[in-house]
Amino acid sequence: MASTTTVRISKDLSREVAQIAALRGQTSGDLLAKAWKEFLARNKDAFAKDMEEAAKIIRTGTTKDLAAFLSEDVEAHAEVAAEQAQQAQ
Amino acid sequence: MSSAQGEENEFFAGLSLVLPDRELRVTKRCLIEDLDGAKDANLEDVSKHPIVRAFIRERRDKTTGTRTVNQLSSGKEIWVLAQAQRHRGGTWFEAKRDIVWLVAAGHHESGSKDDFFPYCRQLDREGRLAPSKDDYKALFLDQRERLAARILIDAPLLRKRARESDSEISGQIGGKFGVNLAIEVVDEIEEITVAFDLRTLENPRYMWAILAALEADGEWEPAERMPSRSLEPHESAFRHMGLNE
Repeated sequence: MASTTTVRISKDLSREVAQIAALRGQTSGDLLAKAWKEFLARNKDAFAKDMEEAAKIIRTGTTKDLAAFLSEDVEAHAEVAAEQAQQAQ
Repeated sequence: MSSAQGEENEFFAGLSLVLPDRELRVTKRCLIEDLDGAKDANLEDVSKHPIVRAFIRERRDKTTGTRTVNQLSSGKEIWVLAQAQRHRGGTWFEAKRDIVWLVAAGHHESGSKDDFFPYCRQLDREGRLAPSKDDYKALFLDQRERLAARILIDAPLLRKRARESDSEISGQIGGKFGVNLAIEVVDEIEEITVAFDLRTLENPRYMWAILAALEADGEWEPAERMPSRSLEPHESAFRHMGLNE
């Protein structure tokens, strides 16, 4: 039996997803699941390389190496977070 | 939970005191300029400072105080900490990340040019009151290091639990990433199937690290379903086949 769940996304994105899903006769959940699968398929090679790197770290690296692997997006995220902090109340 | 039990689950890590449900963290600027900490000091190094003691005591259970620093040009809600007659501190609760930041400390002496409250307003005008890019970079690096350590501990434990169970099990990696795991053994072949709750993941690299920590040899491939059920829309699953050891 199929069950349902709530996926938290922005209101704008939610509206767009619902509109596109309605046009295609699908639910928003179906569409998001399909989008994720397409995202995985489109980035298959890059993900395979990342997976290989992660496996190599687990086999021969250290916790610090794994932390560095998980931190590639830190610089960009820090910039955005600092801008948001300046604007936050 | 009593205070004593709570304290067993908290620890100093860099510029933070990590609590079960949030972090208390000092900005680098506040640490160096206001608390006279060394450039490479951490929160524990300055934990005897009166305002840091007040910070840890007052914000351990409550993210806000009873009064705020008024007339800040940014409109930020900076909650006042008070210790003894003169020591004052300012904290900002970043709800999105569950972090209470200690952003300023000083002395309160009405009319003095060094009074804490005008000092806070000046920092705010200069854009130096809120955490900076370097603060966030250090925060994220600290958090990733803790996550890496947790992945290395939690993933093998989850696999052990799944091996001992007849059915799919649910668990969390790093205290927040939802993972379901099923292990089936047929003859000498062991098949591991993992479903990630995509709502809890922030970066695909977390998935690759968790999969590798579950099994670093051989290949993981996308799975269409868990052994006993179809996937939820918020899940993504992977399967690994290997020899049962």
